[in-house]
Amino acid sequence: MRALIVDDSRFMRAHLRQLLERIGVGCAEAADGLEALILLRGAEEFDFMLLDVNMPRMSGLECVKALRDAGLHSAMKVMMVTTESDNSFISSALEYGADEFLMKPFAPESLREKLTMLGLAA
Amino acid sequence: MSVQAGTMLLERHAPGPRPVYAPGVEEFVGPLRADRVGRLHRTEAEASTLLETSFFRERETFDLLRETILPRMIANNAAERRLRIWSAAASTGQEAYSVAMLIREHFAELAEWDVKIIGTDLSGDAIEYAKRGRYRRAEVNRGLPARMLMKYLARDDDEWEIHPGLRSMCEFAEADLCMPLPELPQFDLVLLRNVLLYLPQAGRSYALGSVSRQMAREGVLLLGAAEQAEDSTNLFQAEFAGECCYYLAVG
Repeated sequence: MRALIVDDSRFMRAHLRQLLERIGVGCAEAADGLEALILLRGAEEFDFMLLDVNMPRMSGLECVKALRDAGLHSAMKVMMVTTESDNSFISSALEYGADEFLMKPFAPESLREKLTMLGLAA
Repeated sequence: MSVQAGTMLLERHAPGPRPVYAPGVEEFVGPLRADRVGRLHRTEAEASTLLETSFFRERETFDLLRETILPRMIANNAAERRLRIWSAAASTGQEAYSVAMLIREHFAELAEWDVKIIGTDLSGDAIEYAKRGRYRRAEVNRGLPARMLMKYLARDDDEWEIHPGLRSMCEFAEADLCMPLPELPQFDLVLLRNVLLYLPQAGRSYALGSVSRQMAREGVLLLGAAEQAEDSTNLFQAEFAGECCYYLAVG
């Protein structure tokens, strides 16, 4: 299982990587939406992407919309991981093509449960 | 009581008012021994119940409900168009509301039925919390798919509130499974999950006996994934569906 972690916070990327590696998921990282899209145009395959929202250059919402519009990695699950929590915002993310939504701060078991929901963890 | 158990009781607390605290196990046990009116015993009993819960906890159970148990109940109860469901260790209400969401999401035909989900718990604080139907970020983050959050809960300040349509399907009341039960209806489905694990054998037998008497003919009992009704085989018959097990009331 491979995941792409997209977050402008180095601390958050390290935290997510640690949680994922603990359950056997290999990780790559990107610091914003644009860097993520460049990576996703390459040859590497990912099973899912954890995507922050508020980032420089390209936001998570712009990233997921661009990704889905281009039909890139259509089987890859996208979970927004963000401090945003308004219902209208969550609705927009789902409409743009995100599969799930996790609000920061979160407990490790919440991440695990959301991955299970998406069929990505036991 | 072991030092470890005493420490756990001292450390944990239920939502709402904090229980009585003491600096060490002896200081905790001493007042309990002298507690003539039972107020501290009640507090201790509530504190020793585990309130760990989440929406759609143990997902396989909800798959089993959706695929096997509820369709069968709907067929069985088609004449009276009535369903009574008991969340017998309801904690702060997530299990009862999850069942309500499952019904709304997958069984549109039940909208015209008389469906009631009754949640009971030993902890009065947990029951008050369940009645509010309002959950914090950490709680909606656990087990609840984002699409269900959007559909069945409304954001209000820092909390999310269960929609009135779901709340009207659910009622909550205090009940101790190891004591005589308050007046309750006969149930078609009982969820008694992750409770028996924490009871001694006599308590398990008493609770299962009480539960069996509250079950309707052909009623179904669901236990937690790590629990079995092995010492009450005269009351229940085990049925298997995939990796899941459920129990039919006998007699």
